[in-house]
Amino acid sequence: MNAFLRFSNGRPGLSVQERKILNKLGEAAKIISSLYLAQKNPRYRGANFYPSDATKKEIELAAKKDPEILSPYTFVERKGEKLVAVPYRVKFKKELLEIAQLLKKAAVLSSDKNFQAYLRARAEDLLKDNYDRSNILWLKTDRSTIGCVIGPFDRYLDQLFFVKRAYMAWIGILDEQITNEMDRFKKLILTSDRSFLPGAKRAKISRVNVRVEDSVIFSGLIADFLFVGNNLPSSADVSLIKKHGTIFTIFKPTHEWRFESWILPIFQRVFCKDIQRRFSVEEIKKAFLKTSVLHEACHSLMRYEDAPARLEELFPYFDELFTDLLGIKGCGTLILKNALCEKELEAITIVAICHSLYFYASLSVRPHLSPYAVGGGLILEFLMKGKALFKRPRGFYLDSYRALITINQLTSIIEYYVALGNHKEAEEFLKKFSMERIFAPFKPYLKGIAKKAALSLTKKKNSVL
Amino acid sequence: MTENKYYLTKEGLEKTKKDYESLLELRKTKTIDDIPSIWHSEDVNPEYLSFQEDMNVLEARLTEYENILKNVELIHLPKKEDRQEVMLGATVTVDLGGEVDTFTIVGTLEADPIQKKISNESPIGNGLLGLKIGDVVKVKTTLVNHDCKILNIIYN
Repeated sequence: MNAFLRFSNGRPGLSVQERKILNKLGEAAKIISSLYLAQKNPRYRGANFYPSDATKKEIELAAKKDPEILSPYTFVERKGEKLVAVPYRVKFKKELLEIAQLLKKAAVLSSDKNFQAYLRARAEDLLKDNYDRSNILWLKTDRSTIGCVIGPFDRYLDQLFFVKRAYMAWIGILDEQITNEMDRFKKLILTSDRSFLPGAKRAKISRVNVRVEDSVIFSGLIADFLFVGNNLPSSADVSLIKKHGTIFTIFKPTHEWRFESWILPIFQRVFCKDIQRRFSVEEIKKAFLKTSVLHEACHSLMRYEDAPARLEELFPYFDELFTDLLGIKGCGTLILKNALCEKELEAITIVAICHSLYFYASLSVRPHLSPYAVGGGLILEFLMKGKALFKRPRGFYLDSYRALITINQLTSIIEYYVALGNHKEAEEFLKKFSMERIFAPFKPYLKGIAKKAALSLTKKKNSVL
Repeated sequence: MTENKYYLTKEGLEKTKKDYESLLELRKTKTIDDIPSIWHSEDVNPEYLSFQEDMNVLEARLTEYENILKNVELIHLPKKEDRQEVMLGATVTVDLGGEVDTFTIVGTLEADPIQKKISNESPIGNGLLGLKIGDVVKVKTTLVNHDCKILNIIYN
């Protein structure tokens, strides 16, 4: 397996110097791919972060004696009878030194002071396993022409504790026009203040910036997961984001690929003609972009500080679903203010259904998408039970009015778990739903899409080589 | 063109007048300095066609501004005894289905939800007019149906 994806060689109009920077960053990103592959192990929920014969209980007991066992930046290894923590900076010393050198060289080539300072700080932080300083500097690069994230950040690979960070890198070029458009939409979403559940620990995010990029390279976790957007720093760095904010990045190439290979074919196959005739391809495409912005923005709209610690590995199941629901719910308010039209909200709801089916249909090749698929399954279950989504002789029909009522109900339920629920309650709640049963009526419509999507991705890769 | 009433704040009216004057100035400059010759050899000069197109857009915008200025109604600060009610120009804090939001109700021309200026013709703007603190109103569209409780009203 190769966790490295090149989408382009840069955008026309870049200076010679900028192209040189891209080359240096590209070399660094290539190394990241090997670090990620050393962390990945699809056969075990704890990936290679923990010994595969260690139980969750054994790891928790060892962590009581040595907190480094559950540090985000260590591998846990068995040494005789004992479990010991090995820091990433020790395990990958040679590779990290090489990456740091490349980042420093790229910094010398850059005339963008903020970007330069960030690259230098990131080069140092990679060798310290503490990313606070470079994260704060990265937050100042939201409008830099070249965007680069490199290091261990997302926790999705650790399905045992949702603690360990996986290595990833992305490099991209800012699309200023779409960034400005989406910045406006983000501001609309974030203008009101949500009431938090009494007794819950609220984390208010100080600043939320958006960036839309023409991605050049994905490496590590992001090349494997093929994200269409990402929000960093994440909930794991809650004190940092409360003080300094976040940036969410939308990646145009994966966004286009997911739309053309998945969302559109699903829309055209699953929904009946009455629904299909109501929306043009362009309207569905715009709704998909807005859905991605809504999802990422809503990560910052509602944060419950202690949710990751309370829900442990179940946190992403609730967090990702909750942000999707908040996004749709928030659109209702925008309609009341004449800031969004009803047809746009209908399209956004339809895209959310298509997206749920995408996550389910990709599980065979991307099992780590399970939190998203389960969340999507819950949306479908509630829509069908609420008679908002039902089968007609030639495809599914959506009653948008009922859909919004149902989504509001589900939002309230999920909010309890995100705000106050404990791990046991969350586990029991999820057990009530059989994903196989929920997705069964849709299966016949999804046949063959995964294969075609994989082919189109290969084509995309080959067109750059 | 329909003779609608256009509600503007004092600042909004000043801005509208200023924009109108800038457009008048632009028309003056264009017609004195920038006018290209009509004929170039035997064809109509493309530069002239583009000029003509620009002028048509400009004239349409000027007419639009004239219509607004002719039918404008200034939003006044209501009398003290009336300030407990939501009227145009009020800054209202509401609980809208769990979201606490504060915004000012303005005429459609000044509406900008990002700046928390909501049109009096929007479902929520229209639904709140005439209500008092503590009142609860159902704000409805074909798809959305929210209870909205007024938490505060202020006039600046």
